[in-house]
Amino acid sequence: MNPLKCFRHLVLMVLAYAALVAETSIAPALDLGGLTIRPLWIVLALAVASCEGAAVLAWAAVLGFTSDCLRGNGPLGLDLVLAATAVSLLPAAWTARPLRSITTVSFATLILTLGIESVSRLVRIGAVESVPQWLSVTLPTTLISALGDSLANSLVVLAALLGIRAIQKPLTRLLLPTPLTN
Amino acid sequence: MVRSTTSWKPLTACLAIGLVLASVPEPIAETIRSRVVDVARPGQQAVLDTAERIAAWRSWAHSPRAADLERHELDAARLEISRLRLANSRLTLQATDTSSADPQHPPLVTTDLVTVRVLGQETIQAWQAGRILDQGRGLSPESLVVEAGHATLDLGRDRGLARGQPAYAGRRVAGRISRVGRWTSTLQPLTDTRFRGLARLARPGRDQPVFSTRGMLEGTGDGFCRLTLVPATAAVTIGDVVYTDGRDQPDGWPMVYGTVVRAEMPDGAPHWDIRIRPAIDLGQLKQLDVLTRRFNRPQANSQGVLAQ
Repeated sequence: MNPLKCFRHLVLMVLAYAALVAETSIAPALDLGGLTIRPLWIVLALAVASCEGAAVLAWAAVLGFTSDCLRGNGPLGLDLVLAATAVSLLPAAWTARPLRSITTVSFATLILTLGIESVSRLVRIGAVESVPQWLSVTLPTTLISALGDSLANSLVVLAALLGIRAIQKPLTRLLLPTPLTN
Repeated sequence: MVRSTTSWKPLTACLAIGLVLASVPEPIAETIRSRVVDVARPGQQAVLDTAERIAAWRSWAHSPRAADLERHELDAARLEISRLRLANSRLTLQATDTSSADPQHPPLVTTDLVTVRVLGQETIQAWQAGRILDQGRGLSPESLVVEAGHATLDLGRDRGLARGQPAYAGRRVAGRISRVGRWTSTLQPLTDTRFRGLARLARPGRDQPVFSTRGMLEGTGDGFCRLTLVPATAAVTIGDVVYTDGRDQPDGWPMVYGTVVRAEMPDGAPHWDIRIRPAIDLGQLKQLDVLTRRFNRPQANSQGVLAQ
């Protein structure tokens, strides 16, 4: 493993811990009109963007397990399986090599959050007593709520990446050698 | 080719780990969850320290005001409360999940919801004036039960209604039966000053309400209620929902009294001063469900002591 990859994993580890802290302290205190930010899935999208191959799945498993531990109900390991499955269902072009496009990373955040959150919530709600009621009330409510959360998550990623790029450009220009003049 | 042979292995490993974790007994799963949450504690402390430092820097940068410091301390306390609420909701779920097998015998007392209509003022006046054709059923003006400020309902003793029975509109508490006649009865609304009911506070959770402290709901007589006997150590916020607290709800799930609109802690007081807005609009009531209870044992043909 080259030093750059080690550094990437180290950064992801720090981000995963920050996400864990944010999930238990800052995120519940945020009032976004009913929307919930899930920093763990943001880190998962960043892992998809920066890692490749089996490393992406390993990160999905770690972050899914952390999410399982933060939820009070439902089986332990559900989010782990969902995160791993969601990541493995992503287009191979996204997981085979690091992503450069900000739009793609934001879209990956949207898909991952929507897929994992909606299925996880539906499973955790429990047994279906009345199928018509489940189809007409529970399913649409859960999907709309998960879609709102995933949109909020992807907007956060989009804003953060645009901000980083805006800082990066002047820095790169500053570090480049001055062109020789006649 | 190499990719296709190796890509399924990590996913299979993840699925296997997930299955193993799902089959872990609940006490062990709770221990694992607690350990992971405990790992976040140094980070949470760092967040609190940072918030305090920012608060201190702000107070140094701007004019030092005691109110600002208090507000930041309050923010830090709110963070801690939200963390504790997370832990509390997890423990509550753990406590409620340990259900035993259902008993085989029928319940001793069965409950039933009887739907009643609220009589309008014109009908009451017509009854009192003797203008209702009774077809010889003895519908005298004296047989109508009326109380000032209380709604009159169109069912009475002959349909099993009795004093003290609770009345609901959907999942909201309307009050309880206060007087019962043969044909009619009256409703004591939950805002009446003589109304008392056991209540429980809950905050909206992610999937279901998270119940916390118990108290006593009392009517104030001005269209609102108050929640008393809530200890000063309890966490109460505006917007918390107040539910009924008891085991005899129609379907085992509590009914809603109302919402907290004001919560104050007088200096040195042992209890919160909480004002509740009822969930129901008593002026718009058209019909109600009254909870009735019946003894549910067949009359045994006992042979008596001498026959044994």
